[in-house]
Amino acid sequence: MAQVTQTRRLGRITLDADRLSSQYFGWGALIATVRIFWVIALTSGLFGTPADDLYRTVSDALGSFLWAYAAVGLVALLATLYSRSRGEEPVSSTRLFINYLGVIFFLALSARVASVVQADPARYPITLWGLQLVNGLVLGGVYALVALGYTLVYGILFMINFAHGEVLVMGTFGGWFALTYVLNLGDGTFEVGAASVAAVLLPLLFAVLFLPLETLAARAGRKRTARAAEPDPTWVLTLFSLPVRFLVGALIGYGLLQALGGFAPHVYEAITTIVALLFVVAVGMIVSMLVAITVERIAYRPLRGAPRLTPLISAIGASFFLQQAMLNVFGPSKRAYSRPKLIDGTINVRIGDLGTIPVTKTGIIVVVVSLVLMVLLYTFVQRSKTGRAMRAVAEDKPTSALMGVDVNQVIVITFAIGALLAGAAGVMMGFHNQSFNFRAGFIPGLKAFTAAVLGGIGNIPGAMFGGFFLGLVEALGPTMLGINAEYKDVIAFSLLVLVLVFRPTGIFGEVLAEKKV
Amino acid sequence: MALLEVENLHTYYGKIHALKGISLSVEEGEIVTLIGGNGAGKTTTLNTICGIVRAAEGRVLLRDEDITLLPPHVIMSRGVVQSPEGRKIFQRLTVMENLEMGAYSRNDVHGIASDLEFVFETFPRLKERQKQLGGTLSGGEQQMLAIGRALMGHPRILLLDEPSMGLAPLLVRDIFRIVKYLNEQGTTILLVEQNALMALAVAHRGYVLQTGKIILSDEATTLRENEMVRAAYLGEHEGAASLRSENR
Ligand SMILES: Nc1ncnc2c1ncn2[C@@H]1O[C@H](COP(=O)(O)OP(=O)(O)O)[C@@H](O)[C@H]1O
Ligand SMILES: [Mg+2]
Repeated sequence: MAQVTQTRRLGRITLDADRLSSQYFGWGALIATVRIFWVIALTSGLFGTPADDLYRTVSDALGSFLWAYAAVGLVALLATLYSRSRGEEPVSSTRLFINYLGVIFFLALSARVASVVQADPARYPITLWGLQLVNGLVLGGVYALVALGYTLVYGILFMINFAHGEVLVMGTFGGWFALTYVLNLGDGTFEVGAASVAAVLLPLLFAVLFLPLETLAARAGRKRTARAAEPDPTWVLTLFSLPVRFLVGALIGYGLLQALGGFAPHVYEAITTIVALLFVVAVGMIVSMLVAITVERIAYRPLRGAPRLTPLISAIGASFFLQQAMLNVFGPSKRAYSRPKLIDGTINVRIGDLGTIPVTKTGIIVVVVSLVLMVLLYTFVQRSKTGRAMRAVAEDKPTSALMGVDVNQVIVITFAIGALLAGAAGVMMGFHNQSFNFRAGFIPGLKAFTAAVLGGIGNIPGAMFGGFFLGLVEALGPTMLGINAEYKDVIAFSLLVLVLVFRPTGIFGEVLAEKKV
Repeated sequence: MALLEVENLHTYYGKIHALKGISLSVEEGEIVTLIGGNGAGKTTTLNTICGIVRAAEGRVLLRDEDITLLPPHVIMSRGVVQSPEGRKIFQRLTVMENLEMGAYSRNDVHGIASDLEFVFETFPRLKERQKQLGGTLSGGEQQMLAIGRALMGHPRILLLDEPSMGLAPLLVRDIFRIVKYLNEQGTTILLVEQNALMALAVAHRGYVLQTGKIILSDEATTLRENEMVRAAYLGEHEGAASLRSENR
């Protein structure tokens, strides 16, 4: 009887020590992060130059506090280990060690950052941090878009689509060919070619908008459900009106465009350029989508039901195949992605009177477009019928099939959506970096995969967060640590290892951990 | 001609011969029950009808139309709707989203709305909980949701796989009452059960399945009087009762 009470009490104490230790790590990491940003703000002049003594005191206090925090933790750790060693049952203390090491890591990190920036504050003005912040967000936008493709596919098939990096660069190629086409149309001037492209696409858009879309959609919907469609006399009339409406729409669109060209040539040029750019992006997205669908059909679908390792190996094979195919077809040399005037150059952003940051226009476009696409994706998955089916299929395929869902179709749609996002990222990456070759998708693909794992693979908000987080770490990390920017890849992949040690399910990965997988 | 006609169905799992020539039929407006112990092949029969498992031999006819080898989503859209064993609620979808999944193959907005109304009238509890996640419902509520979700597909024939499994006796009563009510409202039902007593009480006809073969079929009232059925499934004798518990 007494024996039972004893072990139970012991069990509770063990549990408390483990939980305390995680909280200890969490708070330690948070305080160290605050210290890092505080020191940066202080030395970069954000708190004024010279900064008030109060700010300095806080900075020093945070540093001293962390040392004390680590010392107290060490005492607590040793005490717990001692008491456990005297307990009857052996208890694993690995978690305690890992959490403690985590705190030490953050302490060391904050100490390093502090010593680097305080050694020579003049080399770390706020404009540098601002610039790196922007770079991080741009990288992050690309990573997040690509990471979503990994996460969507993993959520449904529990496989990692290693060919996704190649899908990305195929989008870059697709966009490059469209761009070259527009340039050739304009004899080397994008704006001239853009005018011709817009002169076709805009009237086409107007023409389609002039069609009775609702009637057509309703008719298509009825056709699919009704067992015996009754003849509809008004339908014949609608049918005859279609070409007329189409022509009228096209003429109005064309007329409006020409009028705009006459009255407001600048607006005209901007609009035609935007239309042509959208055309380039759309081509890239569609090429990526077609590649992804083909890969799914050939390399993954026949292996449905095989052991989980098999499609993974097939994915690596598909990745190599695509890379080598691109090398042989397009060659190894770099291709230039020339920017039209509209999106070339930088915008200077003032930070108070501390200076200005030159932000590239393409950078702004990457961040804005990726955020918009992510909101669209999230809304689609949460609100649309197909999105609902995607979530259902991710959870239980046979039952989804019993509900009338064509599971293979939903899987194809998932690949297609992931690839559309990657294609958009690929074209934007092209315009931002201004050159690429067949290998340009490999590293970003690997990084985006890292980002997806960081956020908890299979988790959509996790991939978005992981993408931006990784981008920021890569851009700010080398500066903070005072090392060469070429170490950014080392930092990124070290981060992956660290997260896998401390939180194997990723930062947002709790849901997944509970699932059977 | 029967609404659903199964002829000489054979199904294999690898080398395991799970169905060894099943034949059965369901007329429009009937409740037909398929009873049998654990592992007899009841779920396999339903899944073969629905196309989740492929038939090796034999045919499934829906009003004379051969649906045997169609993919599951097509079979479902023809009106053969299953509420699977173990309920299989989408845990991370809300109650409302689960019901909407049931109507996935449909486009008739008005029909869907009126079926939803019917489901909410039949299961008022689901209406109260429509924003809750499926995984947070109790066992009885999940069973109601599973049946409601199947009804959202507007079945020509509803296949229910052990709807009473794992429920408290009072809830079991409720479920069978609902099965009877749905049938009175015009739904044709093929009811798979281990609870033979209750199943035979609501059904018109019944089939007894044992290790992949139909060993008996008759009117439900006659089956209830049958010595063999009483001994094996209705728990009249002590020996039968212990046999049943062994089977669990
Ligand atoms: N997925 C499967 N793989 C292999 N054997 C299975 C599978 N599902 C069922 N079986 C076997 O088929 C037989 C019939 O099972 P089942 O149809 O589930 O029976 P019931 O629903 O009557 O309990 C059992 O012997 C079972 O072990
Ligand atoms: Mg069963």
